Amino acid sequence: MGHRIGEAYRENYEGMMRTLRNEKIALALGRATASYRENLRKTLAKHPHTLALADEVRKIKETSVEHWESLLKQAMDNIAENHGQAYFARTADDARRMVAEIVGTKKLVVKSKSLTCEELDLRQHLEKIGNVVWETDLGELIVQLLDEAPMHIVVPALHVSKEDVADLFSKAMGKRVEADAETEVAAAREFLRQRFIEADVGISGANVASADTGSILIIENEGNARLVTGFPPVHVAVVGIEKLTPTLSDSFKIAEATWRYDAYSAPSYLNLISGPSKTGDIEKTTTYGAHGPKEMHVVFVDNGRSELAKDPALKEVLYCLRCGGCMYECPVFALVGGKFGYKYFIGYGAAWIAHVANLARAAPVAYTCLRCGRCTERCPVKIDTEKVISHMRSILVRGYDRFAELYTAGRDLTAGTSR
Amino acid sequence: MDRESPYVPRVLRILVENMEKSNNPLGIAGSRLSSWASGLDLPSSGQTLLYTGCEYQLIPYVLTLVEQIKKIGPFGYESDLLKLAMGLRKIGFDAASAFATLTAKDEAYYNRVMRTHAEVLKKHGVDFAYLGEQEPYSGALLYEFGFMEEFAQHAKKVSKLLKERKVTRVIVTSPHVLEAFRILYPRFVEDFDVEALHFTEVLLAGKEKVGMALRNPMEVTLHDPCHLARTLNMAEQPRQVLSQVKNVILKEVPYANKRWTTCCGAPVETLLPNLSEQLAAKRVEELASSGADTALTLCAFCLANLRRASSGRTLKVMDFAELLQMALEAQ
Repeated sequence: MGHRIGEAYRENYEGMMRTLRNEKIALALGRATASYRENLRKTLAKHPHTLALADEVRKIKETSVEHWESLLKQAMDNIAENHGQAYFARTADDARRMVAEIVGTKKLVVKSKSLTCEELDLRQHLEKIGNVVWETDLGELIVQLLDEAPMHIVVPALHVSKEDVADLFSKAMGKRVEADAETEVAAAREFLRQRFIEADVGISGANVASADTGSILIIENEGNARLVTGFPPVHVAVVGIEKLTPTLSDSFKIAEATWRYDAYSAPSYLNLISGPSKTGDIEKTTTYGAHGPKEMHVVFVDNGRSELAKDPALKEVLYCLRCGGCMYECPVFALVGGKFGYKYFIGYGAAWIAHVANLARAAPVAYTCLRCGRCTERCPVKIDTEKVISHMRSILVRGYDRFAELYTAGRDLTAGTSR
Repeated sequence: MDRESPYVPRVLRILVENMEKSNNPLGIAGSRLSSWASGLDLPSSGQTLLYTGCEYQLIPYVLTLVEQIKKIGPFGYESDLLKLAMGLRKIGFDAASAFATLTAKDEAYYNRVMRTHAEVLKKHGVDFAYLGEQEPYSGALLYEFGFMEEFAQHAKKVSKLLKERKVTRVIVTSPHVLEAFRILYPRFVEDFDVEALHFTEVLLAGKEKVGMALRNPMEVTLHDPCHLARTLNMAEQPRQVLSQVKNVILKEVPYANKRWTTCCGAPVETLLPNLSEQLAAKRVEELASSGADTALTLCAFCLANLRRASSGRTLKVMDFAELLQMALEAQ
């Protein structure tokens, strides 16, 4: 076991050091941070109610995570009522198997950005069993062509310059693509358009899922998620159970806080999907698969989340909205980007990694965090990273069992801050 | 023993072992850690203590240790150099030879900074005792790295000592010690009732106003230590003290000040020295962007990390207390 942990430490360290030496990445991260902060300042000034909204969202998330089991049941029932199909995957293996069964083999799959799919290595798995899978988010497409892991949860190719994108696209598309953002976006559009049309299956994640209506919400700007979820005959949504929310109105609040802290007044698109495409225009007979997918599948994924929800000190990481704001405030992230993490990034990510992957992968991340607390300043739901890291480290020192014993016997030993 | 947990970087286990054997993470003799106070004639007992937590005094040893760790590799995990890491365990117990490379200049400087705090307090009419050789480390590092049971034990030991010495109040010169006494000890030790005050709080509460003025106008910026500004919510106290010093012009770092301050990188200096250096270099750039040519800080670890990163640059990094001393001497 020591060997595996040593390897995890070494891999993590080497990734960080490679990035640390890359000045282009530091420059790109610096520019992204400056523009994020300026945009956020403007959008918060324009929508001052956001701060109170964020507090309300924290409370909604607390209740939702507490009651995930009943929300899951309700959501699955409502999806079925909407003529969609709902599944519950206890483990990553279950999730991969369920999606693989829906997709089959020798299929063309288009995918929109999803951290949960990333966690499951879903694209790689579907490719392995004989499918062709294309990422359609521009950043994800770049990362896929580079055969790398994403550098940021919202901006996966944050670290790649337009010159590098031009070279990459030229090679992949078999024609010269100039190093100019507009040309590159056009090239990606042209490259993907036919694939959207021909695709057998579209796979997406979801930002929120509301139990009372069986709906999922997907926030996006590019318009690729609308095509992924609207064009192919089959849509599969892969959704972590922490995304469940009691009501659709709560879901809208969560969605608004999410895009606002990603520094948007409003996103270009908010997709609300509650079932397969249908029409009743001929004799009021409901017929499925009008213009959109005939089949809609929602795979809810646990993969360690329910265990995380039981841990009083760590469960708050499940409140994360994935707005990405914290990453612009993390001093380590500013130097090494997504190399400070493993699928999930920066300090609080260590708790995610421990549960969705393993302690060996979580250890270097937990011991790289500075516990400086600036991420918490930014976080709309105030995830207390100082506390999370204290708790994670004590778990690494003692192991889960011993810590649980200490924790229940005594006081909240790791309540980190005065906030 | 569970501190042999394979998940924990080896370097940390060495620090923890030293703590048990000698009450401080580097295993340095108390006589060396208290030498800064020689000649000050501080009483060794009293209700109010100046509690240094040994932090400034340990810095020269930390700097030496970091140089050794660079050779061992990150997190102490490079397998072929493991033997060296194990050899490092000896450091704590054979300080004289292991720290042969210790620079006398560093030792003199950090001891002087500690002494400066005491002198500034005295000039403000504050009376206090100092435990000298018997002053234990606060244990902050044990908590920081997740050794909760060891921290609890240590905190109880320190608390017992303070009780025996009838101490009711401590003046501290470190955000980490303040956090330990104000937030953590009450959680780990039953009936912990020692009041902890930060250096700046004591100066602000002083009844007699002491004139502080620099000879010439000086532009300074503040590097807020993370735990002081955020965890302890004390960004204003240093600024209030500075506002009482004539001829000081405070120029804030754009954006990254007060609760938005940027970490200096010191928390990972023993685990990831390369990363720590880069973090410090970046923070020095930010501090310089304030337009001031001097940056002040209020934490031994911030001071050491930022000083190292600023060497060869125009920005000068000083301890907050050093500036106050200058302002008092100019009177």
